[in-house]
Amino acid sequence: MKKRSILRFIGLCMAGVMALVSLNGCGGTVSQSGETGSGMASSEGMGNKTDSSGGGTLEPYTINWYMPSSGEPADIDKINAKATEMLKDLNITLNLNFIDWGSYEQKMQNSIASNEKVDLMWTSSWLANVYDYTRQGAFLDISDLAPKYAPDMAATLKGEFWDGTVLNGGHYAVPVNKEKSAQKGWLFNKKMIDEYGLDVSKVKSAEDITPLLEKIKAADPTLTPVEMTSGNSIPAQQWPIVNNYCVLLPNDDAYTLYIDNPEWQSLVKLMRQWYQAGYIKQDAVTNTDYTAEEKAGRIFMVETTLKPGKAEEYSGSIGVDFVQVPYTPTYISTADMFGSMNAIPASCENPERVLMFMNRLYSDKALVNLLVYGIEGTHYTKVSDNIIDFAAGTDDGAKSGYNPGDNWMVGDQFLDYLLKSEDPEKWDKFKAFNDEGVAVRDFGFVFDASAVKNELAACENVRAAYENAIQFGAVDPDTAIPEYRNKLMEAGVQKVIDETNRQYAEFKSSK
Amino acid sequence: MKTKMAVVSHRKGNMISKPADAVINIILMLLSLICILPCILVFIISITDEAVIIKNGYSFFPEKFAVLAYEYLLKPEGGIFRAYMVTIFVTVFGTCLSLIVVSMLAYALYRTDFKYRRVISFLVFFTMLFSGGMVPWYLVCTQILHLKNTIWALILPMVMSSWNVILMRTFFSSMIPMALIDAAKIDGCSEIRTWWSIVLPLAKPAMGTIALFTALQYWNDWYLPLMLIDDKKLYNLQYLLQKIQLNITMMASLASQSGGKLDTEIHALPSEGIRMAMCIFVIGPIVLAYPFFQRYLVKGITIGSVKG
Amino acid sequence: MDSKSDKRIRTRRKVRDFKKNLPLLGMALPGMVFLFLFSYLPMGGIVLAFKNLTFGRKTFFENFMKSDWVGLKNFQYLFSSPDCLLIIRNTLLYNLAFIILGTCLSIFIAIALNELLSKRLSKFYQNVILLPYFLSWVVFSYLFYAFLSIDHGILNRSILPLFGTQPIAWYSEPKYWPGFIVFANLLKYTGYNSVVYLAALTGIDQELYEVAALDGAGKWDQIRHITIPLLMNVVIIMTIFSIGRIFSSDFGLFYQLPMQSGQLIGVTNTIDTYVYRGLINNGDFAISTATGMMQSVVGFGLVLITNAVVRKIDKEKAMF
Repeated sequence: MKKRSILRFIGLCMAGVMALVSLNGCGGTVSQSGETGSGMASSEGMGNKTDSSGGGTLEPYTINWYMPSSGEPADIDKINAKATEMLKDLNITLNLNFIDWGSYEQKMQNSIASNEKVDLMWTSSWLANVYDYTRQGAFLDISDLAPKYAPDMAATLKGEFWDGTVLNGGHYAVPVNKEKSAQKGWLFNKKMIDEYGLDVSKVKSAEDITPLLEKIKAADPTLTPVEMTSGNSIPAQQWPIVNNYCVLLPNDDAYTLYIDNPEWQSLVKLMRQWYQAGYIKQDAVTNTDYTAEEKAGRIFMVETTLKPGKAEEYSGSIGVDFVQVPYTPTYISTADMFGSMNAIPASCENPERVLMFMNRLYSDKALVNLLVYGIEGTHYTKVSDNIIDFAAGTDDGAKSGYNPGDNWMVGDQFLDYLLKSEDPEKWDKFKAFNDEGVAVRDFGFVFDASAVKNELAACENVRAAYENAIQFGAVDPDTAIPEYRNKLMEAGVQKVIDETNRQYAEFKSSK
Repeated sequence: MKTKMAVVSHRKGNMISKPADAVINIILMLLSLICILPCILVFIISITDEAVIIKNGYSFFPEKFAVLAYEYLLKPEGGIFRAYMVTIFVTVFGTCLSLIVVSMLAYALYRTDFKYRRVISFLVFFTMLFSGGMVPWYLVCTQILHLKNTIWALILPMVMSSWNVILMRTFFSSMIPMALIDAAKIDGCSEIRTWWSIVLPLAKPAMGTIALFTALQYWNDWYLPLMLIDDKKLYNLQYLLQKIQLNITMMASLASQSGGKLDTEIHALPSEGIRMAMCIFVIGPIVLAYPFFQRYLVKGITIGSVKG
Repeated sequence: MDSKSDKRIRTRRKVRDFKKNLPLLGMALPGMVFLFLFSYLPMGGIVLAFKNLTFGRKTFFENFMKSDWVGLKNFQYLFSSPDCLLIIRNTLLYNLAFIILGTCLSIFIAIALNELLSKRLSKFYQNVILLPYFLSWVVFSYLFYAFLSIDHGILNRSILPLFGTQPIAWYSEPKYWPGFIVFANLLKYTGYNSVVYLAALTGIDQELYEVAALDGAGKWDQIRHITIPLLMNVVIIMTIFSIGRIFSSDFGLFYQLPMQSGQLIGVTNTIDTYVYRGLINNGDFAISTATGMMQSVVGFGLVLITNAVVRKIDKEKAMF
C-alpha cells in the first residue's frame, strides 16, 4: 500500500502550504517590518493633540472594522465615504463592514486565524467570545496606549466600565458606553391589564403574579400567558450565575451550586404549579420563538433584563404595548460590562491610529450619529436639536438605506440622537439608572474555564437534559432536582465549583 | 424484421406479471405519498395566513391563505433573481467541469492495468475521511488561490469529489467490460479517445447520476459563499435563503445570553411562512430539471449491440 | 556489481512503466491537482488537534509553529465524560441501523422502479422519492413539529382521537424517538441512494436477462442470480463509504429534529451533539478538531479492515 510514501507525501504538502502561506503573508497582507512603525513615530510627534486638525503629519491609514448585523445596509459605501471625510484630520479611511449575525462567529474566527487585515472588531461575552479570543492572544492589550492615544475614551469609560473589564491583567477590549446597570423584571401586556382589570403595581415577586394569571386563564382558557425561553425563565434570572453553575448568594462567602439554593427550589415549585395550571405552554421546552404569539397579543408576561425605556423599545418592535415592572434592585454585574465591546486584534499594523479613531467614537457626536443613523436628509431628518425622525419614504427605517441597529455597538451611546418615538429624557434616565446601580460583590471576577474544560462540557450535556424541563415546570421538581444534582456530581460539577472558589479567592486577594 | 419482432415479444415475456406490477405499484405509491406529503405541507404552510398558524398550528387545510411570504422574498431589493442567475451559472458550469475532471480520473482508476491505480485510489479515498479543517482550507482558498469574492470561489472547491470519483469508477467497472477497452487499444485508439467515444457513451446512466449529484451539490451549496463571498452580487440562492435561517437559529440561541439586546432584531425576523416559501424556491427548479437527468436513467442498454 | 545492474534494471523498468502509464496519468492529473489544492494542501491542519492554537503573531504560519503542543489532551475531553459509552453506543447503533435498513430499502426501491411496467409511473415515483432530500433538517424539524406538537400537532389533534387514544407528549417520550430518527433519516436519504442503485441497474447488460429467460429462469431467479450479484460492486462501495463515517453523525438530525428537547437526550445525544453542547459556551477550536480526527481515525481503521476482507474475497471489488 506504500503507506510510508503516502505519509511522506502528506508531510510534503504540509510543508508546502506553510511555506506558501508564510511567503504570501509577508508579501501580501502584512507589511509590518517594524510593528509599531510609521504611525507610532508620527503620532508621537503630535503628542496628545489627537483632536487637533494637524493631520498633515499622519500617513494614510485604512481601518477595517467588523460588526454583526442583520444584513449589510445598502448605503454602506456612502457612510464609509462620509466618515472618511470626517476623519480627514486623522488621515483615516474607514471601511466599516457588517456581517450577518449567523455567520459573524465563523467569519471572524477565520479572519483572525488567517491574519487578515482586521483593525477593529466587535466582540462580547455572548458572541465572538471576548474571553476566548483574549486567552488565545488574539487581541491587543491597550492598557498603556489608551490613555495616550484615546484620552477621551479612557475618561468616558472611567469607573466600572474600565475597571470591570480587566482580563488577564490587561485591557483587551473596550466596552461601549451605555447602560451599565441591570435590573431583572417583567414586561406585562398593557391591553390585558386594562381588559382584565389587573393591578401590576403590587407585583414584587413571582408569587404575586399567580392571581393575575389565574384571572386571565379564567377569562380566556385558550391563552397560555407566560413566555418562557431557555435562560429567560423566572428561576434562571434571579441571581447572576458564573459559568452556568455557581452562584454567590448574599450571605455566603463562597460560590455554591445554583440548584442548592432554597429560593431557586421554591421558585421552581411555583413554576410547576403554573405549568400544571396551564399558564406555561405545555411544549415550552421545545418552543424557542414566541414572536408570533407576542405580535398576536396572546402573551401576558415576558421575563427579561430591564433598563429605562425597555418596555417602549419592546412594544415598538412588536407592535403590542407592554409595561415594565422590576423585581430586583439595580445592580452592576461583571457580565454586563462585557455585553458589547470593540477590540483591536493583536495583528493590527497600527493600533495607535485605531485608538485615535476610537477616541473619536467617544467624543465626536457627528461621527457617532453618522455610524448609527446615517446621513442627515438621506436617512434621517432632524426634528429638533437632539431629536430625529427617519427620513420620509423609509417606512420608519425598515426601507432605509442605512439602519443597522448598531446604536449599542458604537462608542458612546450617550452621544446618539434620540428618535422621535423615544423618550426625550432617555439619556438622563440612563445616567440616573447607571448611578443608581450597585456593583455586585464579585464585581470584576471573570472565571477562566480552561482548567475544568472537560468537566464543564460534561456538565453542559447534563444541564441540557434537565435545566429547562425543571425551570419550566414540565417535570416534577421533587424527583427531577435530586436526579439532576446526582448527574451533575457524576459529571464533575464539584470540581468546577472548587475551581471557581479557588479563582475567586485569588481574585479577592489580588484586589 | 422477424428477429426484431422476436426480440420484442421475448422482452415482453421477460417482464414481471401484472399482479406483481400492481403490488409494486401500491408499495411505491405509498412510499411516494410519504415523501410528497411533507413537501405539500411545506407549500401549504408557505401560503397560510400567519394568524391562522398561531391559532391552530400547521395544517393541511388552513382556514385562510396569504401570499405574503412570496411577496417578501420576491421584493426586488432582496436580490433573489440575481441569486438565481448566480446559482444557475455556477451549477451548469461547475457540473460540466466537474464531470470532465471526475470521469477522466475515474476512467484512469477503472483501468486495472493502470499501474498507480491503488495508490491514487487510496489518495482519493483518504480525503473523504480526513481533512485539515476549516482554517487551513480557508487560507489556501484566500491567500494562495485568491478565490475570495470571485465567482470561482463557488465553483473550483467543489469540482473534485472523491465520492463521485469512486462511485463512477465502480459504475464503469460494472458497466463496461475490459475486453472493450482492449479491443479499442488494438484498434489504435488513444486513451482520451477511448474515454470520450467509448466509455462515456456506454456509461450514460453513470454520467447522468453523477451529473445529477454534482448539480445537486452545487445547487444546494451555501457553505462556500458563507466562507468566501462578502460581495452581495455573488450570493447564490441557497446562501441568500440560508443566511436568513442562520440568523434565526443564531439569534434564538443568543437571545437569552444577550441580556435583551437582540429583542428588536428577533422581532424583525421573517415568519415561518417565509421560511417555508424559501424551501419552495429551492426545490421548485430541481423538480423541473429532474426529468433532464432521468433521460439517462432508463433501462435497456445492451452492450452486445455495441460489440456487434 | 550485480546489485548495481539490478538497480539499473529496476530504474529502467520504473521509467518504462511510467512512460507506459503516462496517458492515463495525464488523465488523472486534473483531478489530482484539484485534490492536492483543496484537500492535501490544508491537510497540515490535522496537527492542530495536538496543539493549543494561539494567535497574535505576524502570520498564521508563525501562530501555527509557535503554539504549544498539548499531546493527546484535546482527545481526553470525550472520554472523561460519564456519558461516554452512551453517546458512542447511540452513534454506532443509529449508523448501523441506517446502513442496514437504508441499503435494503434503497435496493428494493431501485429494483422495483426498474421492473415497473409503466415507465412513466416509474419516472414519477423516482422524482417524488427524491424530494425529501432537498429539505434541510431545520425544515424537517418544523414538519415533524407539525405532526407531533402537543396541542396543535396533526397526530394529537386529528389522528389519535380516531383510535380513541389520549394525546401524547411526543417530545418528552424518549421511547418513540429511535424510531422517528431512523424514519427521518430513511425518508431524507433513501431516494438519493436508490438513484445510485438504479443507475447501476440500468447499466446491466440486457442480454444477460434475455439469455437467462431463454434458459427458463423466472423473474425472481433473474433478480437473485443476475441483478443482486451485479449490484454487489456498488453495494460494497456504498457500505464502505458509510463505514468510514460510522463514528460521525448528522448534526441536524440529532440536534434540530428533536427540537433540542432535554428529555430526549438519552436517545438523541451522539458524539457530535455532545461536543457541540459541551463547547457552545466555551468554544474550543482544538477540541472539535480533535473529535473530528478521532472520528476519522476510527472510520479509517474500519474501512481498512473492511477493504482487506473484501479484497480477500474478490480482489476486483475492493476499493483500493
